[in-house]
Amino acid sequence: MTVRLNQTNIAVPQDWLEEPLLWFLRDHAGLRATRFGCGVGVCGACVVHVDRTAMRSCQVPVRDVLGRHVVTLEGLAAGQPDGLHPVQRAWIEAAVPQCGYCQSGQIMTAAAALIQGQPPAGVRAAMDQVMCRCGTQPRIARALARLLGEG
Amino acid sequence: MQRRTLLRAMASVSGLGLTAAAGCALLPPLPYRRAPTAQDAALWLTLESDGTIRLLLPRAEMGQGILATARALVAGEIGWPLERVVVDLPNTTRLPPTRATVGSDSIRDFAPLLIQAATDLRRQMANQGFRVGGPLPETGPIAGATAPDLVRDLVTGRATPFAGDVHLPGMVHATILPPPQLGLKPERVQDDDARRLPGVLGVVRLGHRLVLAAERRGQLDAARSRLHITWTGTPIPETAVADAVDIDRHLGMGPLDHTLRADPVSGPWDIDLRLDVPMAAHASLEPRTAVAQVHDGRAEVWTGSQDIGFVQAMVADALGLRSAQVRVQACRIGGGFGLKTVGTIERDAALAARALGRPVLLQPGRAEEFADAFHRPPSSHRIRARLGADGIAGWHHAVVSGPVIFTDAALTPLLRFATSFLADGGVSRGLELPYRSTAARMEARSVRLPVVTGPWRGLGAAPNGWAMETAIDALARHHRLDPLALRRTLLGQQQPRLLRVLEAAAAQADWQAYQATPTRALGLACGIYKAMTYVAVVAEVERTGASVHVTRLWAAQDCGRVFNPDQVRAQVEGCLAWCVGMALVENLSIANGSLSATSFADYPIPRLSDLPVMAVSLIDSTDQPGGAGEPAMVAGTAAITNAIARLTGDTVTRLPWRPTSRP
Repeated sequence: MTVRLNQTNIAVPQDWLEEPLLWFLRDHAGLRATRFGCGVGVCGACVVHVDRTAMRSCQVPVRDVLGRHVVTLEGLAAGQPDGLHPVQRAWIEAAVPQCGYCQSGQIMTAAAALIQGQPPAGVRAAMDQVMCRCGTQPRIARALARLLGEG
Repeated sequence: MQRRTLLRAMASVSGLGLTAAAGCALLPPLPYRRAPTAQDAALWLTLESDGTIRLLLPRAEMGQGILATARALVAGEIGWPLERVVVDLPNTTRLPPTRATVGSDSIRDFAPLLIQAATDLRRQMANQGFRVGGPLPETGPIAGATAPDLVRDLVTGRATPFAGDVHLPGMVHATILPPPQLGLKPERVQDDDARRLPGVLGVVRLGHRLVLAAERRGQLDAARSRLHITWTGTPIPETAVADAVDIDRHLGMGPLDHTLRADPVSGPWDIDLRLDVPMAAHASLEPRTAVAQVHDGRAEVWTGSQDIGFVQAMVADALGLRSAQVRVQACRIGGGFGLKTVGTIERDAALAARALGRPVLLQPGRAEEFADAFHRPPSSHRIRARLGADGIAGWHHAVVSGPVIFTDAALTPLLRFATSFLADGGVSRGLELPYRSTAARMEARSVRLPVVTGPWRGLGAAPNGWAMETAIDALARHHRLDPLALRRTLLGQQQPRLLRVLEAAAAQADWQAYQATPTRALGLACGIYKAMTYVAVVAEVERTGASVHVTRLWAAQDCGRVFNPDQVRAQVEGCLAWCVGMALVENLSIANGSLSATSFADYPIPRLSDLPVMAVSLIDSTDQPGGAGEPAMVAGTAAITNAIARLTGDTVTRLPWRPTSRP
């Protein structure tokens, strides 16, 4: 039983199968960029990619991702020459983060929508489901505009 | 852990908490309030032999960028490469107690001292033969303050800076179990069923507080559903909180306890408004989180706290240790906003760690966080005002609110009694009228509530500023005056800095030439925060059917010398996002004896599509630097509701605005 995690196959111990993917990532695999915000799939802080689709890892048991490819923020830039995915680069240029806690979910959600070729309205609709309390949305909007070739 | 061990542990802990703790300290733990001095600042910078400068500033980092700004200040003043100034988050071992990171005062109160310490270090380094440069320019942004390297660490996941990212060997996960209704206390706790689940350690009882622990975080939800807890007490009536602050009931009993100005005032009034602000949550994406381990008579705590000194005092008091035996390491805060100023969760984590004999990571789930955290108090205002030939001829603002600075979360019952005679400066913050007036009365009362309330971004200045600026617009409407023109007249020459930001915001929005339509209008508001920062906001609001949408926001702010304009703008944007929430969305109500919010689904906060393009202009000056984290809270909300009032013709008297809300 394995899961492909950021390009590497890792074994899933039997007793982790029913645990939420979020805690498997954080506490078993030691990947702590994916964060807990609400535990009920509403806030988006825990979004990761499963086979290139955004999923809320607090709602997904590890069993459901066996044999699939999970990408977290740590693995998003794999293969990029400067170690940054275009979304991450846009986030740096727009100086988006304040506290930073929700930003992994923001970036992973934006990246998934772009990877899937969503139109601008679809990208924004996806981002509307990711909460930020610091109020970084105006800068997220700026970064998205640049990524969507509008700015 | 064996059941027997756990029971023993529970026995050793139950009844502890404040009662037992009271015996081991003469004074209850209190937050440290003294302002920093040059002597303190001498400890903030350390030069290593290879020329690395270590910066340890006793400030919490919660996204306001204080560490990045501080690093750039030191590098700039010494003329030293940014990458050779290494910033560490503070802990209680390496620095003496310092005031909490609250009130938007880090730059105002710490930056001048830090710059002076850097000047001294530059001299010392020059003497040692280092080729230093500097000093900082007198005006303009400082180099390196935007810190793309630190942003990069956050957006790539290289940084794991939060308390929940701490991982200790043998660590267990825990949450708290708040009562299902406000005002209840646990009586019988049966956790046998839950402990039959693999990994579940059971409930640790800390006086009236309950902590549920398991080997893995994911096991807590299943464990909770198998607990049998009986609660005692009387749930509070639905209207208890609103009734408790009802301004007219209080005014009917006579003057309020605390007056800021007490000129005799009397009618007739041009306007007489009753204005109500509900409770609101902080709703940081990171719940309060602490990791604690207790061994050999010492405790170590990791926490994203705005006040690690107070955490240290509370943990020491609860465990019966001396302060020196408790080490608190600051972590980056995943959103503070005033909530993370009291060491409740840290104390629970430390007591649970001792009881279980294991390190504990305590992080409430979202529902538990809504139920257990303290909140912005509701406040109820009455404002009566009359214009005269020479400004405001009569102004009476009376406010009743739940506690802010004297929050129940931080005070023992004795202190609650003692502080009941003092004015809660958090309640009356921002109650001063900046406009020319010949007679004014401002009075405030803080009342204890059956829910715990405390500081929330901007403290009383957020609701007071909203109420005041709503009344000024109502005055303008009453006299058919332009709101900008009226404010100009009322400010005259007495508040030049406020007038300047008002003109700047109005100019940005092209206030004079703006063509309002039946569905689109501008509103404006302005204010002063803590006599240090001046801010004005113009909002454009559009009405579609029964709902409204904020389509543009323009802000102008004068917070004196600005070192890091991009970060100051980010703070203003953050405040404006909160103002949109305050104006249109946020309402933490009580239903069936408990708080209505259990998740972000029933406590919505502004989303991407709720927030407009924001233009923030800063007036840079050589004036003493002020604060930026809260000031725009005094103006943004009223700018929005004043725009709504211009659309509907009705003053918005109750937050959040609802299509049905009519005066």
